[in-house]
Amino acid sequence: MARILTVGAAQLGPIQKAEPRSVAVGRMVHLMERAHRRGVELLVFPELALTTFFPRHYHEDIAEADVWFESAMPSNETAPLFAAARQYGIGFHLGYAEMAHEPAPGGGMRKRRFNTAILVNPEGDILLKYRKVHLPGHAEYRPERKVQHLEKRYFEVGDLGFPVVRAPMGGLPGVNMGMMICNDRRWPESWRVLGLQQVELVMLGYNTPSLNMEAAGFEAHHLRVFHSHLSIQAGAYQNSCFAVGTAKAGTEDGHELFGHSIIVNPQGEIVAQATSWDDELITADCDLDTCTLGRTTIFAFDQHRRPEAYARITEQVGSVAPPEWRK
Amino acid sequence: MARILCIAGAQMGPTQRDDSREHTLGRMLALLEQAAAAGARLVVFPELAFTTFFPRWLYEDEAALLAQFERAMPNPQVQKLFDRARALRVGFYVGYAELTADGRRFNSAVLVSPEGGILGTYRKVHLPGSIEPRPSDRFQQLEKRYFAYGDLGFPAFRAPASLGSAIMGMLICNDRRWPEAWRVLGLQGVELVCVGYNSAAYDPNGGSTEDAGLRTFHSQLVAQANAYMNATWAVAVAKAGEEDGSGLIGGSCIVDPDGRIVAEARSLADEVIMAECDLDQCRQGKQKMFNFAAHRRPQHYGPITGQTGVIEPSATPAAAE
Repeated sequence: MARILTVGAAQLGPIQKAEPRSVAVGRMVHLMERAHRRGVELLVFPELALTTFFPRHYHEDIAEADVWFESAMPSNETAPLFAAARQYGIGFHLGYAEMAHEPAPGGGMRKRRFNTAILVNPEGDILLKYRKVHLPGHAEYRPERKVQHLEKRYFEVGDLGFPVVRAPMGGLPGVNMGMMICNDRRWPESWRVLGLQQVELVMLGYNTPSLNMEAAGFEAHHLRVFHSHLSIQAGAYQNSCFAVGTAKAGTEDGHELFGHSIIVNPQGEIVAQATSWDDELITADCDLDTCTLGRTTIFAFDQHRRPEAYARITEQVGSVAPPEWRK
Repeated sequence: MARILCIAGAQMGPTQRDDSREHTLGRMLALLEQAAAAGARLVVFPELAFTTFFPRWLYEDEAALLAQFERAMPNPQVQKLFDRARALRVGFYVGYAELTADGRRFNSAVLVSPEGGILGTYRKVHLPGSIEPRPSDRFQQLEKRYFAYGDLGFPAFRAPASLGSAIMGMLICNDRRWPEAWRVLGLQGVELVCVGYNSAAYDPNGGSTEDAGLRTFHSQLVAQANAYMNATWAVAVAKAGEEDGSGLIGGSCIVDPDGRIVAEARSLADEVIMAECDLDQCRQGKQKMFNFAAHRRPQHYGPITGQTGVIEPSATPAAAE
């Protein structure tokens, strides 16, 4: 018997620096309403979905960037999204910049900043929270770059690992759901840690420039979308799961982000794809039982994985070259 | 400054169980000549290149099984290949069934330098299939019966100047579907991964949900994605076509560090594919997107080495806060 979950990727067009959260939330509520009409049970919004991709902007004083962060979730500004989810009976995934006020080691409270995503059920329960582990970019201003990418400045490395939750979703009593964010999708380690928890559906949002902004060598423009799709398709195939990759797209503050949001099945095939770089909804009926074939045969981890040969993956960070060849 | 290495994949068509060793070796020599004449400095042959894909058969007779194995590499029945490659100043990768002096059996590959020295040996880690035959199936997948798990890890080797001083690694067949294998090579700075394979052109688990098209897609997807994610060149080479009624996919390909297929086989027969590979093209990925030292977070990868199989999440939804 099929276990079908109808999922959607709610791609967002650009959000300009001056636009308030109410504009973005209004667009997201509209997408959720359309998703409801199409029978969607779980809707995936992008990374940092409430604001422009602010890590492209440099603030010498990091506290000046606090304006981009959410101190509460839900909040007055995001409450309409939670209300729409309840009204339509839709679960959702939302990426945002999280300001956590946590006890400091030496007493008192401290601010902690993360690039975060949450999974919310229609009742408004936060089923799962994830904080981005693979922060790209740099921490200091780099004059040689055409555009800054300051994720390593504004965010701490996530401290929650790669969790998977089994929870009711749509009409199903239990779905194994996990999340990653943007650059995480290029790292097979992220996918595998989720796969080792038998994830059936991976949700991820991204803001990815349509050009290589490093100016450190030639990279053909069309490779940007290709790399995103390739990483998601292979991650889904190698872990026998569905994946939803949702973009924030279009030209933000004069800088272009690509769209091409996709939904991928456990064979690694793209089953739905966005074609605009604007607000766009794509959907797919995902039979979660189709995860079983790979998981019980070619990727039956318990039968076929050989961790004794994987030591370097956790024992070292960077690469260590082999010795010179000698006859 | 570019470091160009001209690489050939020597896809092989089917080898039947009754084909003589000499006949098969003759085909390999012809592919070697063709690749060398076109300028290749390295030729990649498939997995178990000297024989049919014998793990599809249950051998009751130990002697018949052991006839598929090589007791040394090189040895008299493959010496012509080594001699001719050295004369042509061409290096090569070849897969074979290895029988050690103490009687252990591995699914192995060697990397041979243009000067004729063995740069390295690899023994397949990810053995698919089963130990016991499946009585209802005409074709078996008995790699777990015939071979021990590789005991050499995933070593990378620094090749001599005649191969561009490339950092090279080897995988065999099913290994290519496991990102762990590629990553262990990537963590040694690998610039060129050689893979030979024999992959069924049908659902190898007895179902009907996968066909040759999907199987070929998977084969190329994993070569492309893992080459990209480790910023390395990859050469994946099939033994293809119908072996004694059992189909094998083709789809041999050379993949660049951006994950692009730059050369691809068109047939299911003996066929040479070639590409001029600039090893320095690996540098952009290794220094930027996949600068491991700057971006990897092993503190969150514990389960990859800490557990083998799946541990499911608790059925109780735990609210995050």
